[in-house]
Amino acid sequence: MTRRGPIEDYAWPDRLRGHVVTPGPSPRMHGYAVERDIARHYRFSDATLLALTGELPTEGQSHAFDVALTFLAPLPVSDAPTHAAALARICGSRPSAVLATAAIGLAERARAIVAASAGLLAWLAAPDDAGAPPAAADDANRESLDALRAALAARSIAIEALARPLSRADALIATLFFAGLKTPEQLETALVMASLPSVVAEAYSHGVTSFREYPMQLPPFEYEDP
Amino acid sequence: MSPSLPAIRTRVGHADWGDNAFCGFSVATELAGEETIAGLIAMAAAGRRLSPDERAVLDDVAVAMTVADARIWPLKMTRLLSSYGSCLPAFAAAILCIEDASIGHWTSGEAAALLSQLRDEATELTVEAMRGPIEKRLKAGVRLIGFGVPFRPFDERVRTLKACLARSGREQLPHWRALEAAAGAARELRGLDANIGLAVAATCLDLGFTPPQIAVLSIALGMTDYLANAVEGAEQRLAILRRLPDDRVEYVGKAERASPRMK
Repeated sequence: MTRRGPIEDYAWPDRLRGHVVTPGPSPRMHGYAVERDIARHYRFSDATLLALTGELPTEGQSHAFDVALTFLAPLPVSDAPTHAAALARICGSRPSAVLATAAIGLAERARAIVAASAGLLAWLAAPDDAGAPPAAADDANRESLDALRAALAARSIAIEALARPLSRADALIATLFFAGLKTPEQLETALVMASLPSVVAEAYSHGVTSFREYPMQLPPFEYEDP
Repeated sequence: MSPSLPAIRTRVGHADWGDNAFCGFSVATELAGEETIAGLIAMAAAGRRLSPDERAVLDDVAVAMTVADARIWPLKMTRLLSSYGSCLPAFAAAILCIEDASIGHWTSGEAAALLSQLRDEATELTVEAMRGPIEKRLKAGVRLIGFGVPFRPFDERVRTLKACLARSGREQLPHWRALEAAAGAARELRGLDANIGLAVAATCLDLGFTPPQIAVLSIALGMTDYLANAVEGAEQRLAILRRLPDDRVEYVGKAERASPRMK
């Protein structure tokens, strides 16, 4: 007997809708032929901005995006996403599981960073002195901000927001914003993709089942009965 | 090296010599042979041990809310991802995607918070007394989490759970009565009935759990829907799920165009 229920008896669309990439051979992304046009005339980072924003970047946006991604690329093993991915490797997980662990960790970190940047994003969208973001807190931040300004200047890019003494994290969010990434979804994606290669590379540098070499007591936990 | 790091306090577990501790109990001498999976889940979510009667209620919740049709959105996701032959990534992705989502087990936590507010605001647990608090939210455009049953006239799972609870008289407890009153008011005002999210919320509030604990409990108790689909999907490894035929996808994005550099 064929069972029937709400899914059988309700009228549903019979095709899945795609909004960014055309299905089939010779894919187009937001209307542009990927293989015959974008791959020939643009860089991967441009294709990424196209995917995320729906439009090709200007020269300045493209370079700013490259600089921001490069600044965001390194994430040492002290940071939770890299640490977690290294643990997956040590546990002998499949490469796909190491990668997935890294991606989840990076996505969670990105969510926290972007959530903490809500005030900055509002200010970037409508700058005013009253809502100005806080200044950088320490010398390391200032050095990093100077390096970011210099890297952008080397490509003839000046971002107005970076004239302020922003923290490193805020300055990089402001640079991504300049590149055209303005929504939490766009920014979180950029943060994840920027660090993913270094995170998995660090993870793969650890030995499979190297349990004895892993510092179990770092940081220390202390169990107490409820 | 930096000075010694402060210890992180944990009440979850400890690996002893010859035994393991979990939430204050010896696994070997106090939990083994006594505790159930529902009881362990409650300990994990809330840190407290339930009585056998309370554990049986959680078993009823887990069974009554089962809806494992592979075509339902989060479950379809497990089918898509397990089509490559591995069940756990698909299972993990589905569990991951329902946290804070608009549908799925996690909504029980928000429904519990709402039901608690409604119960506090109503002078008594009657449809008449609930009308004001419900109407106030509807007028303000607040989404009533736990109310509304899409694509069918009522949520069969609510009736199943109520029948289970009635065997021990638990449908007379305050939060279930609040559910009945609130659902009656929402039906009258907007045609909205209680869904399983609200029913789980009411049942678990009557067990003494908090809304955040209820969200976690609901996910854990509902795992079998996802697990069953991930397991079968990994066994089937279906090519049709890895890639739909091109003619079953309709592109509705931007029209074909050439880049400035192509021109």
